[in-house]
Amino acid sequence: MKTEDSYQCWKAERCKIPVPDGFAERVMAVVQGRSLGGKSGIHKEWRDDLWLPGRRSARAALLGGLVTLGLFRFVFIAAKLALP
Amino acid sequence: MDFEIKVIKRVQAGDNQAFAYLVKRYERPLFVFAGNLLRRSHRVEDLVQETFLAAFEHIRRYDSRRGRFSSWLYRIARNKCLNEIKKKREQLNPDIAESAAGTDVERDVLHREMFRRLDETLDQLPFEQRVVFVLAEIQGLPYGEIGRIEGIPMGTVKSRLSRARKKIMRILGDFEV
Repeated sequence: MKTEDSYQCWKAERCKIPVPDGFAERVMAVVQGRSLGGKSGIHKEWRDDLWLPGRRSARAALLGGLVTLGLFRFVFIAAKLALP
Repeated sequence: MDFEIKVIKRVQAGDNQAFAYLVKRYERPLFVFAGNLLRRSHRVEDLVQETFLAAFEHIRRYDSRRGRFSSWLYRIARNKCLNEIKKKREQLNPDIAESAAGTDVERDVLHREMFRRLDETLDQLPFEQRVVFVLAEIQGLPYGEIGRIEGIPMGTVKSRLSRARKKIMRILGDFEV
């Protein structure tokens, strides 16, 4: 078998990752449960992983603001100590 | 595509059962995607499930004018895979590793060695290159869609893919007769 053929064969093999039996049904069971029961504990866990631009930039802005405030405070105290 | 948008609008309007169509349609591509990014992880199924649940929870934020649903879904999956890699919880999943070794392929030692080294090379690619390589070469997505998933220009998609291909081709070169 030629190298190019082997490469194509390898790529085809990499597509053969199986979907577990009943996967869609399990997802839908959670989806239905969520609509009935509202937000669960699991919800928060994966919600934190979701990088939505709005959430991310808000978090970054808050962090940036806190760091800036801290730096100002440090400079202010340092200047106060340095002055006679 | 029109039908898919109609389904999405139904889910956005509160018809949870319509979401089953989207799960059925995208479960296989997402398993291939996550399975190749996290070949050594036991958590592929969990991550794909979490991807669908995140998509369901936030589906009202999805706007079809801004991009395809598949791009949005891949983007969520991609971020979850990156989080998983950062957590360094990757462990060898024998089921997936075996499936990659294949049952239909020729069983000669050279062939298996080549596949093993290609798998290793894929696993060792930087995450950004791995994502682009899997989406372009293994899943056959157009560069434009990969750019939207990754949030990068098409030129960057091409350069990342080129770098990844070079590494893969180097392995193939070792096996040239």
